[in-house]
Amino acid sequence: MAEIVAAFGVPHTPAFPEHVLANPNCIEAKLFAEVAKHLEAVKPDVIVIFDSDHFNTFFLDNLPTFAIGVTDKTKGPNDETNMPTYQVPINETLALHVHKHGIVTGFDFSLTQEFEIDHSILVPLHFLTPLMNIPIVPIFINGLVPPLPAARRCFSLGKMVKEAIALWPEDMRVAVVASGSWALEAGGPRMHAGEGIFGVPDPEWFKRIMRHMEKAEIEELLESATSHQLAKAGNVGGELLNWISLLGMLGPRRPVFLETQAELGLGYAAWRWDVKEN
Amino acid sequence: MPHGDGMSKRIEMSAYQVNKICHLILHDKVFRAAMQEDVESAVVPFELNDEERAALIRGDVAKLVDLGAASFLLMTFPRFGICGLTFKSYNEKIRSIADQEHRRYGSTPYKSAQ
Repeated sequence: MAEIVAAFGVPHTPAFPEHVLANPNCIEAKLFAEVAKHLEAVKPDVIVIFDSDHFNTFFLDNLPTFAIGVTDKTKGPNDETNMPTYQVPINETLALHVHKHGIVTGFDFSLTQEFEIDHSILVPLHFLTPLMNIPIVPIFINGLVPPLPAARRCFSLGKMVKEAIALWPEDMRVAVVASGSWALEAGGPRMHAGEGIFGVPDPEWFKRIMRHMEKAEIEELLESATSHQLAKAGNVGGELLNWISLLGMLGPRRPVFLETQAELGLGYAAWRWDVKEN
Repeated sequence: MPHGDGMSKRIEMSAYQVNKICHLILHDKVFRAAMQEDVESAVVPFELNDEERAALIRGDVAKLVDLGAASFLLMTFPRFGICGLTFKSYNEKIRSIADQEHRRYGSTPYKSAQ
């Protein structure tokens, strides 16, 4: 029987691959390496990844709220991010199973069978599984174009994916990855002054997310992650929904590793079943 | 209750055309070169209203946000030097409407000390 063995949350800042290449001892290199170490230790056979595409896999001509990629491979980045180009295997049969289970239990996924991916999936994989030898199941959540799906709906999505995995007859170790920032404005009016193009418009919200993640206060997080709060958090504040979907697969479990870069609106976390919680 | 950046503020369909232009700058290199060369000619095929066309031609990214364009997508302008924008000048222009954003999203100390 397939089982979920661990979960990981990381940012996908497109400048990081280049930055880490030039500064191998920078903090981002260390934080990603720490998460990668946990991922390596649990030896997953497949990675379910919750991601918010940035208008590259999908655009406003055809924009799903929830979508799943059901094919055997994908590649990217398709947004000219300064990083290597990768081909990534997809576990097509598991993806199809999650798709079907979603549809029959009320999650009306859009289906994509041919697509490329942008930095939002490939920056995490570049750092976590650079050999691209672990197949993924990519699940896309609209985190950028309001109206966003509700936090509770995303949490239920995670629970549904967990159920689907529990029903999968093959022995398989499943890891989950959530991609994205917690609270961030990228290129919008509320970014910081200067030459950078980002900001953290609501640092109090960031601190609150940190507290809830640390203590596994899921109900409090779901209650406070309203559409207005996510909008206040920044124009990509909805990326938190990827993390919330991940929490739906975990239950009330505290991370074994949790670090943040508050000034960048980012979090890095690992949850493991085989290691005692902090 | 307002949501997100400018996107849901107005439902005029033409904001879509501005977003599409931003998207094509990244995904269509021929169009990108045309925009780098001469915005006014490059945007002729799009169904824009007068305000949008004028704002695009003068690189007024703050106005485009105000008109409903997605600020995330507008980053393709400085990224590829459209309208002569740099990240620095883009930052200054877009932040000029931070006050409106402040009112829109409630009292938030968005101007960080950093």
